[in-house]
Amino acid sequence: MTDKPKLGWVRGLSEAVNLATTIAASVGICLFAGWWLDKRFGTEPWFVALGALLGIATAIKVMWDKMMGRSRRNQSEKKYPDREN
Amino acid sequence: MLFGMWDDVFFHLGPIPVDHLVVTEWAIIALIGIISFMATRKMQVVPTGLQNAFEAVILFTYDFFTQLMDEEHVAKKWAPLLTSFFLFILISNYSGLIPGAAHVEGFQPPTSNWNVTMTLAIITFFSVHIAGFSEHGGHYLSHFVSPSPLMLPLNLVEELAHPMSLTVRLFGNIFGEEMVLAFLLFLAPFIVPTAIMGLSLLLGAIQAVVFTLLSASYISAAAGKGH
Repeated sequence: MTDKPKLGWVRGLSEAVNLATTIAASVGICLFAGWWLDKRFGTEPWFVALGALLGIATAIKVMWDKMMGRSRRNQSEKKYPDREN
Repeated sequence: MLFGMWDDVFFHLGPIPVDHLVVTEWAIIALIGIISFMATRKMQVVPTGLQNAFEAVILFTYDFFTQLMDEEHVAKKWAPLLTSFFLFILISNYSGLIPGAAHVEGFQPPTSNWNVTMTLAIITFFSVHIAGFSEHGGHYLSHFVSPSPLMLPLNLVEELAHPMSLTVRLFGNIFGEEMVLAFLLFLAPFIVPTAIMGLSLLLGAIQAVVFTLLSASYISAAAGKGH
């Protein structure tokens, strides 16, 4: 496992393609759940608002995790250029 | 009917209605199965012909997943599923490129229907958690409350967003491509759609790679040492 080549471009491609749809899916799922709960309990618009907040918070968390993960990998590559991350 | 949106029943299997899309999927599975059977029927120490080609494909995908996933034994365990995903999605995406396929019932790409892409994503969803539990046991659940128990709702939404993201991306790309092709075939049946069909070859391969890669990275993250 020590001499395996890096697949940075593959990781980069998959992360780039994934980020946008994961963010959209997070917001979409929460909004849909909020809309369904509002319809079920007649509480419009509270659950939709809560869903929007939860979705946006999740989207920010997903972006934050990706940024921190990338940043950690970059730092590790600078420190140990021969090590696979 | 155009745009790969067949909802009609092809035949009944007892009380269960079977539509054209399912038959296309069976045909693709049968194609992969028959080629695999023929390649492995008379295994030789020094491979030739189809066995040689298949060994090259298997070795390439195995090396690829080993490099991508952090743990080699995890890659070895899940490579068969991921390779099957890749081959199935690739052939499904390309099945719509058979000339005139958009006009023939049963020849539209199964991946242009969200039922199929969601099924694949649900398999990935369960595989991720099976991989997590098999590597970490009950301790795997602790990642849902990491870094703080307050993050539980966000982590749960993120877990649900992964299969939804896989579903929508694959379906949206292939369905969109089919729509563009169908419109171009309607407006200018000759030559013009060829460019889009060429682009579809690239897009179909990229979508198959992306779906497989993301499935591999989700499994690797769940089974990795970070949890």
